[in-house]
Amino acid sequence: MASTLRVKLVGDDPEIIKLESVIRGERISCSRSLNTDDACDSQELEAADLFVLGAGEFSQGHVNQIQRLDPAPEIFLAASKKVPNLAKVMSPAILYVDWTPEEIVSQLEHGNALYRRKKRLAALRDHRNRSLNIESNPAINLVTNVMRRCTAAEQYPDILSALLTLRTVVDFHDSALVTLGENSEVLEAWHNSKELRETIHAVDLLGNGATASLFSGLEDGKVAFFSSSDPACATLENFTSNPWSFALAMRFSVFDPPRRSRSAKSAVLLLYRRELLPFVERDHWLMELTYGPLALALEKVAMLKAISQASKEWRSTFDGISEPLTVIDRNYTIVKANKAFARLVDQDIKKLKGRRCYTLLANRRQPCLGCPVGLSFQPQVGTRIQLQGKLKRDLLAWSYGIRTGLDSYHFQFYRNVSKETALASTLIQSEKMAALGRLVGAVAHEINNPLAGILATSQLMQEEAKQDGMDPSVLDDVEEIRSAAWRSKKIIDDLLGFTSEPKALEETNLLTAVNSALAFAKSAMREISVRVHSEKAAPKAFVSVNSLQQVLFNLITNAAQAMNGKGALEINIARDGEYYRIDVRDNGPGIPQEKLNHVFDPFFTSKQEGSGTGLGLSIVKSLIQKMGARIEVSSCSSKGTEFRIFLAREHGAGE
Amino acid sequence: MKVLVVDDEKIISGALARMLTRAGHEVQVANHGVEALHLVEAANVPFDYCFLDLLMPEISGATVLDLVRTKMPKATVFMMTAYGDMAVREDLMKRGAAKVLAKPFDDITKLPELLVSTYREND
Repeated sequence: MASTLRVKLVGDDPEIIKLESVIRGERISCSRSLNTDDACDSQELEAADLFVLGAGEFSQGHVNQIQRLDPAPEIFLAASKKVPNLAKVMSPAILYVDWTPEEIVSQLEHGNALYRRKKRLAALRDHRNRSLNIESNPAINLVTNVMRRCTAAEQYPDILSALLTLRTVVDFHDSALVTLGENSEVLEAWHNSKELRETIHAVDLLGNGATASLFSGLEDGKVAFFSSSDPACATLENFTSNPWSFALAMRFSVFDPPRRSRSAKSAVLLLYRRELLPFVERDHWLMELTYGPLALALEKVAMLKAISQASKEWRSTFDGISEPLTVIDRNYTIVKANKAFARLVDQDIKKLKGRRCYTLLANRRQPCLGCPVGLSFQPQVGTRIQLQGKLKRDLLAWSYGIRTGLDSYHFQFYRNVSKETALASTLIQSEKMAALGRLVGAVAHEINNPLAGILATSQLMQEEAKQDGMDPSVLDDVEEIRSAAWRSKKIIDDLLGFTSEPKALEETNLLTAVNSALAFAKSAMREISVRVHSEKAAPKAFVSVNSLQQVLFNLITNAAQAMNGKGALEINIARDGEYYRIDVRDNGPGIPQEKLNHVFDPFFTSKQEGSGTGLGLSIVKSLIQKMGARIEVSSCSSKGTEFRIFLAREHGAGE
Repeated sequence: MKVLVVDDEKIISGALARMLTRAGHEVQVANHGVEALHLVEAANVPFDYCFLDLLMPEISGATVLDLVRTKMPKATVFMMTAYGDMAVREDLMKRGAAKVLAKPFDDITKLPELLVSTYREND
């Protein structure tokens, strides 16, 4: 046992010199330093468990300095008969140089035993702390991480790779993960990253046969114990670069649900110790409790992965459907809603859960009238619900009940039919227009005949009166009749112009068209000052008169509405290259820049809901395009809006 | 010149007849299509001009036009209509009408001048 004694003598007192000679005679590993600083510094190169201080070096400061070393060596005071008073107060172990060498060695051995006991106690305390502290317990840490990763297992192509993410976790602990092939041969191994790469390669060289027999006995979820002193573990000798003493191992097999069979691959998790401190029973059950479920739960994890995959697929399908969908419970509270629904109600999708559907859709305090929810657990015909308020919309809603256990849920399917409704009303509108057109045509014919007679007769009377002579007052009356008939004829002409089908392009006086459109829009222009300016008295371009009139009428009434019935409207006709340009300018509030791109879109309207179809400007655009002409719009906030129409001056120039 | 005026509106046919008579033409008036057909069939001397209303009960102006065209190829036929779209106008022109006049006429007193101008064209 004497050989295990490692002693350092400090100082140059005669007692130290004497002790040195005594100890050397006993073949004890011994060195001497001149002072405490040197002794402490040399501890790294040549560690000693016992320090023997001479009286000259013995002071409280030096004792403290030595005790700060890790591990702290035991301190002896080398003394002759007389012990300094100070030393008595500190009561160190004292080596009397007058003792026989046997007595001195025995004293040193006693100190060494004390030192080892202290060291072991410290190690045990440390281990206890590590085991009890969940945060720092590598086993618990590891399994928590693995479970967390396995739960998010969609990212792993198979469960083995999920297990192999242990690799990253393994990096933090004195542990290793070994994957085994069909015959338990080592395929790969991952270590704590503190290990040298060479060592990891050395693992690859682990003898297949011996390692295989070592690992093949491992049972899923059961902890096996290895010791480096066991000859069977000789193949694991070079497993790490650091010497290891004891290891715990557990095997994980991968269960592949689709094939319903154990796949050939498996993995072994090794936790090892560098200290010569064996794993105790506590470590066994700790590992079994933490890793055992993991080993056995791999099947469940695989299932979890499949479920999570299915859930993800369902979720993306649910979200991917472009029609709004919700799942609500029987209290009309939203359990799930897709993105389209979030868009429909203009809310963040994360904030939908827990809200009532009628609050979101209709801003109501109770279910909407005619709500289809709960009517039936059978598929049913869609119910039309009309939403009022800021989300004024026509929705068609279907509801299917789903019974799950005690609860019942309702699957809602909505379709926004606002556009269809608007389209239908537009169709009705155009149907009405067509009917009106037929009516006007019929009326025009019926009225035109007698009107033709009145006009012709009055003209004839005037003609005859010129020759025959007639009472001037009667002549005046005849003129009244003629002019009234003439005015009626013009009204009917204009009506026909608006209702008849668009005609071919013909050379048209634009000024006349503008005036005619203005006359028709008269009712909307009560308090609006109108100024028409034309470069020429008779600007002529190739247009379809009816279409142009319709276009101008729409633009003028739009402007009048934009100005809210008060303001100034300016129409300017001017030549612009090969075109005639008609500018229709108002001094209304203008159109915001972001909406300007959409003014020609069908169903786009800035007017209050219900007051416009949103089709006026799109009709303008389509008529303009049919004529081969062009329209532009520009707007300045609070200054007004200007529409510019470009009409070909030459036939075909605009095409 | 010998002129036929056909219109179921007596006020129109009357005014036209008066106008044309004053201009020195020999005018025959029919108040509906059947009468017009009889007049055309019975005419010894072909008409030089015809004013035919398009829409009349029973026999339309177009039927009369066809008969006139076959019996009196030299006659100049003016169709009158209160409401006719382009297609109708084109059809009538194809069937041999010289012109389609829209009712009410802009100025009835200009009609004799129209006859003169078309007569010259025929020469």
